[in-house]
Amino acid sequence: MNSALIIIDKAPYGYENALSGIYIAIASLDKGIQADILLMGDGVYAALKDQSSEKTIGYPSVGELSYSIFPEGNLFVHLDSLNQRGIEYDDLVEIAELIDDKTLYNLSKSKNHIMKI
Amino acid sequence: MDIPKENSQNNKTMVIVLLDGPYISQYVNIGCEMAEAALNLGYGVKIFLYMDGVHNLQKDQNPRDFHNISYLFQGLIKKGCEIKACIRCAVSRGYQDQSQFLDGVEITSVYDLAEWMLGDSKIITLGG
Amino acid sequence: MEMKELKFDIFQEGPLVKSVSITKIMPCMAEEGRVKLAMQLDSTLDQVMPTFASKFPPGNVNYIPHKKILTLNTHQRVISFFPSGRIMMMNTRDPEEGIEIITEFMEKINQCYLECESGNGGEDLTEKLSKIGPLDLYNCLPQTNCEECGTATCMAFSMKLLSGDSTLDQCKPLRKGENSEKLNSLQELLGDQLMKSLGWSGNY
Repeated sequence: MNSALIIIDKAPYGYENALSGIYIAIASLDKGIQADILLMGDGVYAALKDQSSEKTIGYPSVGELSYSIFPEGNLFVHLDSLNQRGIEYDDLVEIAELIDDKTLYNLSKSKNHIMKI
Repeated sequence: MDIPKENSQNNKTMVIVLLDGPYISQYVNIGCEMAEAALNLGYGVKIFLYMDGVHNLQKDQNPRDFHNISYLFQGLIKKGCEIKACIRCAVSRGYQDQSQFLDGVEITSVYDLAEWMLGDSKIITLGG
Repeated sequence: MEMKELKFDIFQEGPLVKSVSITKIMPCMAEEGRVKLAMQLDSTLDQVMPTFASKFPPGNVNYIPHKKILTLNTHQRVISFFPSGRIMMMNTRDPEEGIEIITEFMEKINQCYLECESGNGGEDLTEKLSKIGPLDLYNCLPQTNCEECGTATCMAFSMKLLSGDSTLDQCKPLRKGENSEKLNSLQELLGDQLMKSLGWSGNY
């Protein structure tokens, strides 16, 4: 089965990348591709819960949008990136799944396509 | 010089996703060079322009100090490269219709990129 | 995408959930013309989720216990329930259909809440149910392969019970006096709650 891993390493709102990456994941899932999102580096900020960007800056909430990939796709959040930034698991949206480096290695090996947006 | 067509019998495709606009970085040039090399070897090549990448296809570019990037894309189209750009990104950035873009490119949705991922292809993302 | 908040007051006296809002309507690209709905209940589901999850046959359920996220394959679509009270419903005709379906679930959620409050719920029955296999069920059935339930063998029937394709009510012989021992062992194996989950409505 065709699979893809979309890596986002930029924080949302500051850059369009997080939003665009999620759209690619949604499109891939709709075509039957097993697409997962990996948030690494500053990308982990995209998984913070209670983002209210619509009312404040008129920008779609990236945290909300990420729910669209669940349950067919997973939202992986890189553990080390989270720790480096002092973010706790409880600060994240419900669908966030922590991933350590070893698991990430195995996950990457299993994917047909890996894209960093 | 005769470059052997290694892939003329099969359908292997290189899909290049370009995220940077023209001139801001070398990624678009690198992407186009890779595309040309792959085409010369007989591989299929498809390019998807996403986010600021859509600007590369604007037809009235006139850089004073650099080579015009849109010429690279015109060359690739002549060699059989399929080029598509994201409509959401294009419309956001002020493109209203096909007339502002090079001939032979298609303004479509990101679902087409997902479609490209289904075939015997390998994706490379550059820029961003 | 516009943020239209459509609020529906369903149960005025609902013990836990009274109303549901549709927070987002998105196109469902998998099926032409259908939509994906994001909804929000007026209460969190933290407390009731384990009980709620055990109400359905395991074949229809994907429950993540450490996150309390429940995904159901039911009504010809996938519906995900989150502890925050958010609901994602795929492959839906329109918001009205979504609300119709969610009302059923809200009723069940309220029932679960009452059970938890009265001390009957709270037990993680999903784990118990996941340990019960078709053979365990088969041992508590009449084992006559009578086909009254519409399935050829009792073994196949027990597999269908777990996948949600058959209900215990469909086994008429179970209610007959000669099978009362089997019925008792079934009751012992599953308990009241799980008997209901597998489609037993009768008194015994």
